[in-house]
Amino acid sequence: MTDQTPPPSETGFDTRLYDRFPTQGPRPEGELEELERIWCAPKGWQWITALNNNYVGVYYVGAAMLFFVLAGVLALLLRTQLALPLNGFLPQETYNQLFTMHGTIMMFLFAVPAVEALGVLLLPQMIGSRDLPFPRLSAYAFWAYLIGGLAFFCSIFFGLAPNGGWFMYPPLTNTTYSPGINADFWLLGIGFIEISAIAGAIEIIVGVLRTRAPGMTLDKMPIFAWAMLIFAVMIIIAFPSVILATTLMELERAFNWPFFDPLRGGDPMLWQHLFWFFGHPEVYIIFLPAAGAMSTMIPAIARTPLVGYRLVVLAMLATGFISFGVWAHHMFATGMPEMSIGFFASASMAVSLPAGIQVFAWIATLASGKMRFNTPGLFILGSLVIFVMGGLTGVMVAMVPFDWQAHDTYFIVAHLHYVLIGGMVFPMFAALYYWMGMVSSRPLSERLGKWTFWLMFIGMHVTFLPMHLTGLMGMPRRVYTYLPGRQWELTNMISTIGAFIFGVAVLIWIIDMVRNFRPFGEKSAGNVYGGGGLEWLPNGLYSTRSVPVVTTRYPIWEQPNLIKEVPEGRWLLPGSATGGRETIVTSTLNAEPQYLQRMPTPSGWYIWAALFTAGFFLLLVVQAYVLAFICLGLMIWTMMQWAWFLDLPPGGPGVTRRERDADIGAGITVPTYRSGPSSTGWWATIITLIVAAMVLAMSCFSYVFLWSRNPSAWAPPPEMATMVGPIVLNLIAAGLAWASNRSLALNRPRSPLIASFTMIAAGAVLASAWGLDLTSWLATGLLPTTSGQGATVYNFLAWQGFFVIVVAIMSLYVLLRWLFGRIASSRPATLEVIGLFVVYSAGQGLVGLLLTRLFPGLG
Amino acid sequence: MREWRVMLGPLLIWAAHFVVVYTLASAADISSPSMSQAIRWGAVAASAVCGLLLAVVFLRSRSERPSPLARQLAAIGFAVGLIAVAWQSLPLVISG
Repeated sequence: MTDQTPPPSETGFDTRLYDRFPTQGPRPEGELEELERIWCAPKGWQWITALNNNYVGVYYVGAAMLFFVLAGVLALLLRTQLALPLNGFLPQETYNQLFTMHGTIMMFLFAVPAVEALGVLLLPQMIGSRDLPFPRLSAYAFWAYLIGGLAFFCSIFFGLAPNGGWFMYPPLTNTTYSPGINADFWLLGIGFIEISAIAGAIEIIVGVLRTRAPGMTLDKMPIFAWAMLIFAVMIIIAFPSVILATTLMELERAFNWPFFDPLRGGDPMLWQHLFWFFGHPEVYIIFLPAAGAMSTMIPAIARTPLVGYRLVVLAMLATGFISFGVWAHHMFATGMPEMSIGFFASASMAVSLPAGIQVFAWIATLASGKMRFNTPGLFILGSLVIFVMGGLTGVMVAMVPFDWQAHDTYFIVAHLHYVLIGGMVFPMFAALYYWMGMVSSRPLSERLGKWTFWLMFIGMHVTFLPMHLTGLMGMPRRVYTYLPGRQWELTNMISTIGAFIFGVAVLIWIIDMVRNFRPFGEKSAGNVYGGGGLEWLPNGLYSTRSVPVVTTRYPIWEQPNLIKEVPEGRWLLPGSATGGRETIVTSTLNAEPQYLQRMPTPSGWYIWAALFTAGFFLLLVVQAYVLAFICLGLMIWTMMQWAWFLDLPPGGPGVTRRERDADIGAGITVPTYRSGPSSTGWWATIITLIVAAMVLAMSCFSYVFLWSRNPSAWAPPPEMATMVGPIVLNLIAAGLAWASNRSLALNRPRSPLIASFTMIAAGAVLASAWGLDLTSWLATGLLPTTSGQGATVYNFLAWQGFFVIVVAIMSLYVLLRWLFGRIASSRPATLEVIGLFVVYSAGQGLVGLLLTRLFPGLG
Repeated sequence: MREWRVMLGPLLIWAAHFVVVYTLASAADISSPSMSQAIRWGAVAASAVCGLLLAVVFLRSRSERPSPLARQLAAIGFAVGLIAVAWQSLPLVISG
């Protein structure tokens, strides 16, 4: 099945040490009890601050399913309105708000969070870690999402819900046609929820790459972990685009910066490009984790390993790449150049190939094994049928002449629901039934599950199959009613009946959950469907008692002794090596142990930070600016408190590195503190900076795109001589940040003082560079409200200004840490990540400066 | 990094090819007809370069003795990348 020859060492770790496991002899008395005490369950109100993935993951999945139900109720209201022509069930404005909220909630508050939640819940157990590396980040992401999402949903009850469709195209959403704050709810709410999604993605990338069980090489990694890794990387690449788009739109609405106003050098097409650069990968962002879950469940359901593991991995990687080359197929009807249309059409057809590889791998696995028709099995089969049907209509609309006919009709609505329900909703329900035994003391009912499946499957087809015809007969999307006599009555009525059948299926599932879902108990129902992954080892809040060395892709099937040995503590980390929460950090390729990361215990800071973050954005929407900025201040303060206890090696500054090493079992010792490229914090910082770089890249695209719309109208930039100052200052800022870290590494008595103040000086020089650039542009008379050029130039300056402010806050933080004696050569991680941030900011300043001054030249 | 480069190299070249041809097509849209034709042939040449690059990266990866997973992903990635680059270049020669 997998190559049993150990790979050459990646880190210098001697893999022959694995032969010491499983250990023999009795384990020390009280070892397990101490582990249970350290990873104890929250009591009373502590459930709010719970950190374990077992808790946060369940909350997260629960919240996502709540939003699924809420958006489903909106769908039933919409379908009731459309059941009959000239129906008066919903007023036009309410209908507009409800269809906008239905799409927005399903895409932003259900689909992405649900798969991210599944990752938070399953990944630690699946890859054999105690928890994901940044549990407070997971908790922050969850609470920010829940608070922000509920507040966003409640806008419906005040008539303030957005009403411009889930893609919010301008000019419909500019202040002329959407003068209220409805659109602002969408822009700020979604921008904020995407930040939460990015936080979760950082956690997943670092978790999958750095906290796998020893021996779990990339070739033995669970396919779900592969899918979540690719999913999270796609979020990092795609979501900055929608963050930029929402920011630009809000700047236009609030401050009259004409990014999308063609009369002043803007272009509404810019929104479409930015939105769909996020929006189409979003479909695969939703699909890939669901496909990963399918590839994990199918072997258990068919009782045989997945056929074509490596091909499926390649197919998922290829999907990830190609999904970024298809965004403009949503824009075929906008008059794009013919050659560009050709590229996007061919890429859109090509994307069906990797999806096809996965589908054939699933069919081959089911055919080569002994398929069981239990509830997850039925949902998997249903998903295959529905997704393939949606894929076929997808190839149809990838053909430009057909798309021109079907565009903006109910054919597209039918297509996208087939893809999303087949590609995500059915796999999600399969996953809920399949993994329920891991989190609940009772599994869900097979009898009710089968009712749920059949009603959902029938309801789905009854709703959406006739919708293809409705669309081909010419009924446009997003209309609140239609005239009688157009042959649309029958298909609309059938669709409405189907929607209610689907609703009944969801209701039965809710009843099943109420009857059987019993989370957070002492025992779980266990491996009901016979899965082969590590997540089915006996586990508690500490994940597994000991961390096994993995030698196969299906350890439960092929290393059957693990079921006995792991709970007995015969493998790595059988107790707590440092007296606190911890997890083993391993190398990216071969998962060789590198160090022991100490994990945080619950506190309130990340909850308060989430609350104030949500408060800041929501108060901005309702234009309560004073309160919003109070929330911002409190958010910064709570985040500083959260970070204050980071970067504290055990034993204090006087303890040597060797003394800090800990025994992780059988005499194998690893460090308990790391900084630099081998530490998880460094990785998280780099990924965060990639997010920032993507915003910068999309800003560059916006700048060049608006120039290409009307090159002759662009004003010349400031004098070339004014470039010199900002360039030199940005280079000095980067140099000072580097020098700060070098001086700390020298480990002299005054190193902390010199390093701290050099870093603060770097921040000050960075701010000066930005100030010089800003004043040069102001001197030209070009203002952000003048034209599209002004808007995009000042967008660069505003984005850089945001970084200058963040660096200023970091400088204050450095000063405080130095005052309290928390800057030391033995704990360089804080200054390292701040240094990375400053160097990136300086580079970003240079990119913006050079582009806006040198392109398109002096005019 | 070597292992990641071997595994993802062909797919990265494929992605780079898409960016190049899309950028050139956009440039052709705002150029004069004669320049537009030159850009089109430039894009065809860029596609040929990407095809060659795929072959070079694939052959080099074989001499680097990567893990079995990386070796297999590189081989399939090369085949898929080559087909994709050719497929993606078709609009250059068949569109009007």
